Amino acid sequence: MQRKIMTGYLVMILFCAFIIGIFSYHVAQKHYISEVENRLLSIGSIIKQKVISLEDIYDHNNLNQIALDYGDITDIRITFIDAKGNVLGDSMADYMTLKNHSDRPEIIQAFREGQGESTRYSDSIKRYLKYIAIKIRHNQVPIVVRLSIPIDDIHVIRNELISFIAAGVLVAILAAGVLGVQFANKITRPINQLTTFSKDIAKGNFKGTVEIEANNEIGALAQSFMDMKTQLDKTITELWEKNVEMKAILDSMIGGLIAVDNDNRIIRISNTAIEMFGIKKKKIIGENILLVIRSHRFNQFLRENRDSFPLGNQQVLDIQYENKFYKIYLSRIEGKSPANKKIGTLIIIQDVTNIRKLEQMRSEFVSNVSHELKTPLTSIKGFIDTLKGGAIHDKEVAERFLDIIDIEAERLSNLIGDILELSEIETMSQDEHMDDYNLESIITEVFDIIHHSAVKKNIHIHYEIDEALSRVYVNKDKLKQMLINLIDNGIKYNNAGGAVKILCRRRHDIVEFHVRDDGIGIAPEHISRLFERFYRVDKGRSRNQGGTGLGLSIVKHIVNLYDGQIQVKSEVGKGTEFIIRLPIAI
Amino acid sequence: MSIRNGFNASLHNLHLDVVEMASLVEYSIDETILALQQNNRALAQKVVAEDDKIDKMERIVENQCIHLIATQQPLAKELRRLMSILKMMTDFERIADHAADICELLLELTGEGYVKPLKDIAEMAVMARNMVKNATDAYINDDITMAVQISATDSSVDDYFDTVVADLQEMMRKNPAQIKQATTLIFIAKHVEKIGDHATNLGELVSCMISGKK
Ligand SMILES: Nc1ncnc2c1ncn2[C@@H]1O[C@H](COP(=O)(O)OP(=O)(O)O)[C@@H](O)[C@H]1O
Ligand SMILES: [Mg+2]
Repeated sequence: MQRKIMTGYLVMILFCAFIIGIFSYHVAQKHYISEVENRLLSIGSIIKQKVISLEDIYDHNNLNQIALDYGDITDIRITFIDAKGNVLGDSMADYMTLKNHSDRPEIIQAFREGQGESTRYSDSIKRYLKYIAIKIRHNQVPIVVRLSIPIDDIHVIRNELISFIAAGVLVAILAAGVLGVQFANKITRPINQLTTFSKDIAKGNFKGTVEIEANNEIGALAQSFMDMKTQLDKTITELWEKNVEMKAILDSMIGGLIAVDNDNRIIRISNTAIEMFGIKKKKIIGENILLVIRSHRFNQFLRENRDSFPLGNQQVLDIQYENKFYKIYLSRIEGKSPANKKIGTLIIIQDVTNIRKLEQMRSEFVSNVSHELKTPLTSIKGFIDTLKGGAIHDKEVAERFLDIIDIEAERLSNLIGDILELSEIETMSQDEHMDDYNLESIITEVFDIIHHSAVKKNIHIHYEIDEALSRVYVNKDKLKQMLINLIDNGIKYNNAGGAVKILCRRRHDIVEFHVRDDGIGIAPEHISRLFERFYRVDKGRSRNQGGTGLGLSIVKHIVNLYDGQIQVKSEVGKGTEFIIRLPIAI
Repeated sequence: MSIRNGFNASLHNLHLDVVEMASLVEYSIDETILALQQNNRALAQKVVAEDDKIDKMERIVENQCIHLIATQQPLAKELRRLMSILKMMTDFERIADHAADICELLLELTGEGYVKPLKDIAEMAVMARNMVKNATDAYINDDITMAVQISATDSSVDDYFDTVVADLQEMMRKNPAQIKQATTLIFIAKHVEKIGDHATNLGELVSCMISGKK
């Protein structure tokens, strides 16, 4: 900018100096020549007076003398010529020897008009000469006095003139240059200031100010810049606040939200959506969604519905992204214009992973239940068929078969009982029949129930209760069910002659139940799955013991009902300990 | 200026198509993994059938590349990009072929009940899939560190392959009746390993496309 101003300025100065130089040269030359002419003319008129006052002009010596005298003082060549062209006197040469001068243009002109002028190159002295001729009438006899001066002086003067002008121009350029730099600075500095200022604004920094005090256009510009800044700052702050609000609303949505334009470039995306698709890219807004979310089905779905789907209609797609299941809803975003043109697509993503997993669990449960029910039923039916087929008549065989049928029927009823129990607890969100009980009496009730099977397997069971612990607030049936299932396992998965010990401890309002046995133990890899429905470490053993695989999942549901905790410690061959913490002490 | 703009727009479209191709290929690997995990015949058939779509996409992208090189006089850097994309397309297409091959082998197997759970092979496939995914991510984000890291994963896929093969050989020795099935499984594992190799290629192509060094 400054450069441009400076060069323009210099070119202008040079141009002006050139023009001025040419003009002044011409003026000076003209002036000099007219000066010469004037000098010649004035001396001529003096000589004219002198000649007129002469008595006899035909005395050639008189004229020659005048010529010599004046020539001497003025350095001008003075010549007298008569009408016939004869030279009557000359200040420089012997007039007698000079040729006839009647053909000289200044003389011809002078005789005709009274005054003549000419500039010629003189061969005799090899110089340019300026001639002025004046007609003199002396007693009716016309003669002419001619004055001449070499004007090569003019050339000398011209060179001098040129160098003067050149020096002048140089000085002018220097002065103008210095002034120009200052001038340019004066213009560009505020402009530079304004530039940095507006760059700051462009970067979003609204803190700066410009201090330009100039009382001119630039000052006005600076002022309007400041006004613009204030206005922009205000608008942007407002917009930003709105945006923050909008973002907060979007981000607090449960599902993810993405808005894309008609070219599938992302206009807006909520944090949830970013998390759902695990987007790590930093530049998301304005990017094509294909580059951000790389799911073929998702993008195909978007493309298929780009312009096809009708107004107000929603499209739904189920996709699997990594390990998650998402439901994607598309709806069109319409512009405000009367044409109701589609300006983009709104994508809402709902995480249905849990629902899917539940569905899957449910269907697994149903198939497990039918399988579990089928096994004893098939066996019952098989034995009945055999009995019908004749075995009934062999009393011994018949009794054995009936015993088996009895066991299988018992197992069926256990299973159905457990399933009913489980579904009852599952649908409960809170226990209803809560009351105040003595913990020890509950435990003795449990022992009464469990006693029979313990004796049968020769397992010793005993319990220990903290003295600080007497009353609990609980649903008695549920707590009993929980303890029975745990102790029952301790008996079932134990060796003959083993022991099961129940410890009840108090920690503030929490009751900690330890059910510890010295039985077969559980290998670590099974522990995490123990509480799944129908999960058994050893299917055969569980079945032989009349197990259903539901005992521990019932325990887990009961514990969840009271917001309690379960912990399992076990070592294969050494024994197992279940620790349950329930906030039920009072 | 406007010619150049047009060129940039075509470059961007090409870029989108490359990613499209990548996501198609990733999708087919995903489906292959699902088919492996769930022993899903229908899914395997679908993957085999959809391989044509990928071949078509490959041709489209290749033609686009060649058209751009021929008609637009790309600068050296753009030319390098276009050439890299051309090579990447081949790798992507080969990966999809391997996925389809795995599914074909799977179709021979299903119904027999596996000698060894396909878990290991499926896990290996997940690793290979992640390599492809990372290569694509590196391509999209011009991320050279990510591109360079891909080859490191390849050696773990190779290790996995070795253990799977050793397990299967052991099984064949113990139970010669299962030789046929075990061989098929070895073939499947080999294809997975190949996918890893192509993903490594992709990673190298991407890093050389970004840095310009071979
Ligand atoms: N105290 C224990 N010792 C060893 N194994 C146990 C114990 N408790 C539970 N298990 C294992 O956990 C499985 C699930 O238990 P449970 O849900 O009560 O079903 P089950 O009806 O088989 O007893 C059992 O089959 C058994 O293998
Ligand atoms: Mg049990």
